[in-house]
Amino acid sequence: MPRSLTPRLEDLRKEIEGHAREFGLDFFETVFEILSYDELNMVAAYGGFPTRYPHWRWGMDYEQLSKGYEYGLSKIYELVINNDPCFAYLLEANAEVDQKLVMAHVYGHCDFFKNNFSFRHTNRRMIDEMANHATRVSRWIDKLGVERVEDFVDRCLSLENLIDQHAPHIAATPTPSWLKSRPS
Amino acid sequence: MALRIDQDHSRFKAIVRGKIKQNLRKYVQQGEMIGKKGKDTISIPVPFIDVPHFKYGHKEQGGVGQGEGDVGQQLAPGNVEPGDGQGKAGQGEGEHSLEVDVSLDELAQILGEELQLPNIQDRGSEKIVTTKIKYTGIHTIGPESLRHFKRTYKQALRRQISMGTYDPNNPVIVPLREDRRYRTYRLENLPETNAVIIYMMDVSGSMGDEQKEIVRIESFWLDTWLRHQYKGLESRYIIHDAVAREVDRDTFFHTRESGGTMISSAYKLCRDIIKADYPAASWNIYPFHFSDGDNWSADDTRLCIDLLKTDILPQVNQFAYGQVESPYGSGQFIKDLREHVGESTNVALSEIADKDAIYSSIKDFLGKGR
Repeated sequence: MPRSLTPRLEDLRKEIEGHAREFGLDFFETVFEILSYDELNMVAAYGGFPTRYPHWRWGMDYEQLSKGYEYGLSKIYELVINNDPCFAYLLEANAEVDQKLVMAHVYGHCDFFKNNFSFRHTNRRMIDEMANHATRVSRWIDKLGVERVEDFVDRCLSLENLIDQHAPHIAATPTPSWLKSRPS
Repeated sequence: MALRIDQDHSRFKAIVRGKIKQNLRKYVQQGEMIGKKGKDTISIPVPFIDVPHFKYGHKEQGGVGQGEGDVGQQLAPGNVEPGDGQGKAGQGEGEHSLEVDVSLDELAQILGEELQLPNIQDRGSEKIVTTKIKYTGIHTIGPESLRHFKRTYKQALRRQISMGTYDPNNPVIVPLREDRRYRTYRLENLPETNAVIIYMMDVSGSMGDEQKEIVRIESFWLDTWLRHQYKGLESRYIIHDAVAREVDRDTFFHTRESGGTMISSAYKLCRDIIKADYPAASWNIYPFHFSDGDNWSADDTRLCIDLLKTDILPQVNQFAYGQVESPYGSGQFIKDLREHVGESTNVALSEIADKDAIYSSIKDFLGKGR
């Protein structure tokens, strides 16, 4: 279970937030939580989000991350979600100096999230939306059986690289007036 | 603690192992992580699955849809970007290996499913009891070593607040004698199953390295299965030529001795071990004997059968004899056993001609579910 910051870390967080504002950063409220390494691996395997729909692919990524950590090959220091409020996860076992560094780093991310042009159309309630999707997929699985739903999701996933990531920006551009008035 | 992702993870492992969704299994690829242990590099297998994707061409030019075209013009894919390298493709099929690291327990499960092994009906499970300490509650008296600090503190805090001696500005809590709280425990009887495997191997001159390899592989599987069935399995190892002695596991598999064969010596030792350490009332006992079946004399064989009938068989769950074929052929012993004790329900006999026969032999040994 995610835990909120210890009093000591909370004091540090306040101090770091102060420094970040002094430097002129502008960010959403940022919520830090502490996770154990396997929980952090889980969240990372879910693509950085706490709740996702059931699917084997997360398990595959989880295995890879877990092995990397357990054999001492890789380590995740921080995870931060472009949500409002931002959520950021700290690894429980990290040293205090690491935590300070990570928190400061996270505030940089959050400023970027809030202000960068490319994120204008980003859904800032994505955590809620993903949790809703998870519930919906689970309900389908209960109703139709895991095989059918999984087969369908597998097919969707094989198309995922064809989604145009610029689509929201294009759709947001209003049709120019000269184009509208042109006789067809 | 169980994580939400565990269910996704076990689903993935099941796919990799080919249990479900054969159509996905064909996409399993074998990745690896390279780790270092001291000077040596080790490879940690990480299987992964990539679902098929459409891919964009190299450049948005050429290909389909380039105009009217002439009859016979080829619909070529886009030009391959230079720099993709030259050279011929290799010939022949590569070696596809799939390595999944599974725990021994999972391995045993797979083995069980594959060979359709029955679960073992264990005997005497109710007779064997161990006591376990279970902490069940809180009491006002008890040994200091079991003092429950948090409850004691709470009690003292409660008392001080109700007495009005608690000062929020100087929150010093002093527990008195009657504030102290101690954990209490109860002794619970837990039924426990105990099992022992007694491995016996003929190491006479006629048993070569290959024969020992067979014994080693086979006993690994037997060990894995029985370990899966019983918690706290013990193993004992006996080697014999004309005389028998008890050895450790390492010696058991690596000894090359020479000399004659007196199987009765091993059975005697087996009997003595059972008598000394494993009373049949509370132990599940599994003697496994491997030999090439060339016993020294008919007299000795007769003695073996006597030992089996009077001393060993009444004590054990199952007596198993595996006869490994040696360069000198297969001996007479299994036939003698079959004739004299083959009818007993708790005897399993198996001839193991070569490594490929291990599979069916395991089934011979474990198929009875005893």
